Amino acid sequence: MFYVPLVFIVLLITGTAFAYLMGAVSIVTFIATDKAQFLSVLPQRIFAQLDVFAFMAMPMFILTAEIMSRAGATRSLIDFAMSLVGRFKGGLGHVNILTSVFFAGISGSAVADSAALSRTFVPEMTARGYTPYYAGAITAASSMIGPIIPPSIIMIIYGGLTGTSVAALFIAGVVPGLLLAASLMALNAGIAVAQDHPGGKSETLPRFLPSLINAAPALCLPVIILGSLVFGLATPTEGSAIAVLFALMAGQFYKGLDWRMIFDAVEATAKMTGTIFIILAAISVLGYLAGQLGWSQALAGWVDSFGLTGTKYLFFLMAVFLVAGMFMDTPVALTLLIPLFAPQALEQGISPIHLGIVLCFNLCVGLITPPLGKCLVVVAALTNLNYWRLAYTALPFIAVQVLVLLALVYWPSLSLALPRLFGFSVN
Amino acid sequence: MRKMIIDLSDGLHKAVRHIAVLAVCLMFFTVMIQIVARYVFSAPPVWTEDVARYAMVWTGLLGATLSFKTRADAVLMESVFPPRPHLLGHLAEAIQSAAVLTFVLPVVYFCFMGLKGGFAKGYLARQSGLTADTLGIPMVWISVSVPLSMIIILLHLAARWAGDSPRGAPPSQLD
Amino acid sequence: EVKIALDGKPDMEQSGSYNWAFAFGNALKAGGMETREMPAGSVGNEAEKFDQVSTGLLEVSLSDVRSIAQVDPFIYGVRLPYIFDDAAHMDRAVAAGNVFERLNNSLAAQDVRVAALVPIGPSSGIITTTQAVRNPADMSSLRMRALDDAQIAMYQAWGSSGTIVPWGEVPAGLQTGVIDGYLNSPFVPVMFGQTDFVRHFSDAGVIIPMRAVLMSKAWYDGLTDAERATVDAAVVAADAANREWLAKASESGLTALEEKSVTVQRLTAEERAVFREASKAVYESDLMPSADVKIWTDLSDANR
Ligand code: NA
Ligand code: NA
Repeated sequence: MFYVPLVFIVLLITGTAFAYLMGAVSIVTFIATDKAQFLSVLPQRIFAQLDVFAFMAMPMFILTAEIMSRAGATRSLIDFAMSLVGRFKGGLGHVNILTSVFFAGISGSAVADSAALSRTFVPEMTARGYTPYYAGAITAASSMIGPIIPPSIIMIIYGGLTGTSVAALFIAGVVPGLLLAASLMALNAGIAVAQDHPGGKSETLPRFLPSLINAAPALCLPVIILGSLVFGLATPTEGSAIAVLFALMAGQFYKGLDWRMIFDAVEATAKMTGTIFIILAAISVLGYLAGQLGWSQALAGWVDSFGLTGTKYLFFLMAVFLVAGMFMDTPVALTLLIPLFAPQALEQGISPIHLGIVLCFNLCVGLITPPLGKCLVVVAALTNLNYWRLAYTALPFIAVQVLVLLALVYWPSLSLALPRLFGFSVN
Repeated sequence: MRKMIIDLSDGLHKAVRHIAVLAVCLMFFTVMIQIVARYVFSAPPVWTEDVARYAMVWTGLLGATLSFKTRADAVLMESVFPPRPHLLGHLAEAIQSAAVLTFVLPVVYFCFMGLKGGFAKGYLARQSGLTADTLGIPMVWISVSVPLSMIIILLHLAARWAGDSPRGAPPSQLD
Repeated sequence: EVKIALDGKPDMEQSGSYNWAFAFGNALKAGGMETREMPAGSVGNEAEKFDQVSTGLLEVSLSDVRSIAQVDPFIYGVRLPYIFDDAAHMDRAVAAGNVFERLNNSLAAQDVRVAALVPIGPSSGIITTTQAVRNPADMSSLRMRALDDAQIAMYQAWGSSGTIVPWGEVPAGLQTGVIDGYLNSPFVPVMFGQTDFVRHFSDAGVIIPMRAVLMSKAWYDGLTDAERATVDAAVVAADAANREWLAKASESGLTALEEKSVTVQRLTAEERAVFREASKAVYESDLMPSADVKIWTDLSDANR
């Protein structure tokens, strides 16, 4: 048994891909605990844990975002955000955040948001007198809105792993996403005054109506997705297929799509799905091991012994997930920790939807916290900024995000009121 | 020999790219059929959900080979060792490969062999006795995606050692 | 160690299958065998449980009857609407028709045997949000949640309509009006906290919701004669415990609903007969060959 941690560390420092690391460590553990005969269930286990209804929405929402960004919808969203909030002090900061809100409606990924927007916003904001680090920090921080406002890849993963309604999770993410955006804008407004950022009536702004018309297809997408879920017209999977269809039409409206672009978008989708599926496959092996060795029950007993219940347990989980998010990719942390920690939370009567929102939000905070803040990494790489200085500049934004997270933990109805309103059962 | 392995790996990669694209399209079209059937003919056929789900499993497992071939898999931590051709780089690669083999080989082995009863009691043999619920076809046509993708990954791994180094692919953006 | 894979929460109050598993485990322990309850989900989903029983890694599993159907669809007979009046009727018919023997012949190729059919709760009734139902005509304007094509056909035969909705979407569907009701055991609306919007329960007794107890054939055949006798006796004891619980639950399930102010329509035998007659039209489907349907209806009639 002693050599299992050793294997883990060796595989870790040699940069082994997470899926193969986890798969190998699990298999070594099976052998170390004299349960090698259980390895014969592996093929069935892997297949069964991938063959999950809820996961179907994932490839299609990835495809939607791939098509929309290839078609050049992003620029129209920036222009529209500009026409709305560009006039205020610190205007481009607000535009940056608002663009992320709009972008969130076509993409389920924060890193995609950072990648798509940093090369536009950082030079533009720098040209108008913001420091490049402030521009980079606000771009990275606001990208976190992406996976909170639907669609969201990580919420689909959470839904699939815990058997929670993805539709309800999507609807529950709307208020937290908007709350996050509003909080970031408030911070931006404060800093704009304190540091005398540019902005005001002098700015030349795109005219409202033309920019609205141009942005309309991209803005309609989340409305269609959410509308079909809210009124029970479609399951998330069906909604995701409609989103793909709509993205194909919107793509014609923008730059126009050719077969090459569509093929590339579909191929990228298959590859991204594969990246997450091989992780899910490896985690399914770990999950089986945990079931055989009774880890979940042991962990439950351990948690019980500390008397952590209800909101206290949730705060404990927040600490675990916050640290995990600092070191791991969001889907990796999610797939690894959910099977271990979620059952106790649900056992204690915490709403699976509330839990999903706070855990996903929590892990996303890790996207802009060092040492491994993936959005910071992307922004730093694309704009040639120093990673650590960028992380330092992002500190106030991280603080605001943690405050919003605490509010979400403390007031479940921030997440649950909307799904309740539309008739979803939240417990 | 080296060239043969790399060519085989490249050829398979190209074929899998196309099959995976077809699987995504199949998934998209079946879900569209489901929507149309539900709202236009108000008669949702049951098979659409299963076909779409199985297409998703094929997509994901074939996608895993694409991800492996192009080195797009997520890592927890970059290697602390210098890259190849440094000796430590070779060592790190060898350890990574050992991890891949440790995970993949038992899966492949137990697809074909059972705990008792050898080949006749392997996963695929067990699955061939079962019928997919709504499609009426043997489950084995769907579950064969597991060993197939794992074997392709092993081939890509062999190609890596034969000197295959695909262009650095952009990392996947899932979070 | 005999591992028993559970299918739900270990709840003596509301779960018929746990009553079975508990009694079974106790009888084995009394006979000197070690047992271990595997919590639902800890060894995987239905397909995984079946596969592990098949490989002998799991000794006993409370499984979906569909697990058997993927090998031999004959088992779907127990899910024909109104095929049995109650569990006792089912037990008589299953015994008279040597159903276990027939199923075990087909399951042998998978190294699986079925040891028992276990009702998990009182017979399914009609659960609705707006309309109280006493006869098929009351359902003419309702759209019901269906599990599969066969259920859609049944609703149509009743003069109603059905649409397939996954279980996770049922609460939302009921509240948004996508569906007006569904079919299930009386405990279900209470257990899943749906009594805020579920208004009516009609005790129509459509089908007996149940699990199949699967055993690893390799394990069972490898037991000593004494051990096998212990296991067989434990099955008998567990069946008895389950039927005893079921008798109590049939009434307590209804009163539990009434406590949550869901109105309960207690149908008379004549009123149920109307549903039964209407249902016969759908016995023929592509789920099962007609010859098998005939075997089941004959068994049912001969043992009523
Ligand atoms: Na989003
Ligand atoms: Na932004």
